[in-house]
Amino acid sequence: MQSQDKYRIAVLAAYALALHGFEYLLPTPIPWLRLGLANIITLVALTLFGFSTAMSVTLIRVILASIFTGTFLGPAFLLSFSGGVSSTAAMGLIYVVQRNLFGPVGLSLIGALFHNIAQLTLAYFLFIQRIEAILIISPLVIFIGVLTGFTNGVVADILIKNILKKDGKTIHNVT
Amino acid sequence: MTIADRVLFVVLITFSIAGMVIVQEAIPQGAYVNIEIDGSLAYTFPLDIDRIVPVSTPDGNMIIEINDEKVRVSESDCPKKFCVSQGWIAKGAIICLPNKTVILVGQGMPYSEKELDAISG
Repeated sequence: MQSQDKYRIAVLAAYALALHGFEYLLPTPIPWLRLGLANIITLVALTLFGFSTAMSVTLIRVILASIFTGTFLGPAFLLSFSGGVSSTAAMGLIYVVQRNLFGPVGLSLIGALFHNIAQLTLAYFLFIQRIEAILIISPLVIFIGVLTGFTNGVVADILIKNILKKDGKTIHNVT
Repeated sequence: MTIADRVLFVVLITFSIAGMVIVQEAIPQGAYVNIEIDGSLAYTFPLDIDRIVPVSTPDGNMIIEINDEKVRVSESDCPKKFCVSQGWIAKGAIICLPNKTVILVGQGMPYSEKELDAISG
């Protein structure tokens, strides 16, 4: 790994952590509702620098954020970790296999969907163990996830276009 | 935004809304029986455990029966006994005005608040 890559990952992870922390402060009407703003940074990392950068940024963000909020290795951490890793993995897989099929909005929707699926599955095995409770809540969770995922994707799209316009020459996607 | 983005968005929105409608229709919404007397919640029972509950209110006594995920008022000493004649209900409410009692099949404690107190993304 070149030092330039390390620098990129550090800067992106710092942005992601800041958004994650900002989001943590926002009041939400439902306790488990999260906007997933940090996924904007994951999308930028994935589209501009490739899968390994995106995954590094996600891992650093999830682990550091849980240490800062005191939930490291707790149930909230497990949900956050599984959601973050599976959504980044899903987005990365789609991006690597079919680069031009989906734009940032589509990738964001896929990420949000896999984030929700991973968390609901984990919540079933770890906490609730009542399949009907999971089934009742799943469509609502996924619906909200689609809305937040769409919004994040639009923001990421604008951000990526602006970065490319400004620094397009210095960015080489390494995947 | 590519065409695939738009298609994916529409598909996901459609499926999740359809899912919500299906859940609303297919799965009984009420997991709990809430009994309110004179405007305040007196008892909460899970709908899936059979039991017979004698309820005494300041205005009269009644017997409430939970069986096979349905609830009814089997006896009441109110004058017109509308509550008894309403029979078994699986969702909605039985209201006995003379006894100022409301029997409501609903989410006594939503799962999200009861078991998942804090999830941070």
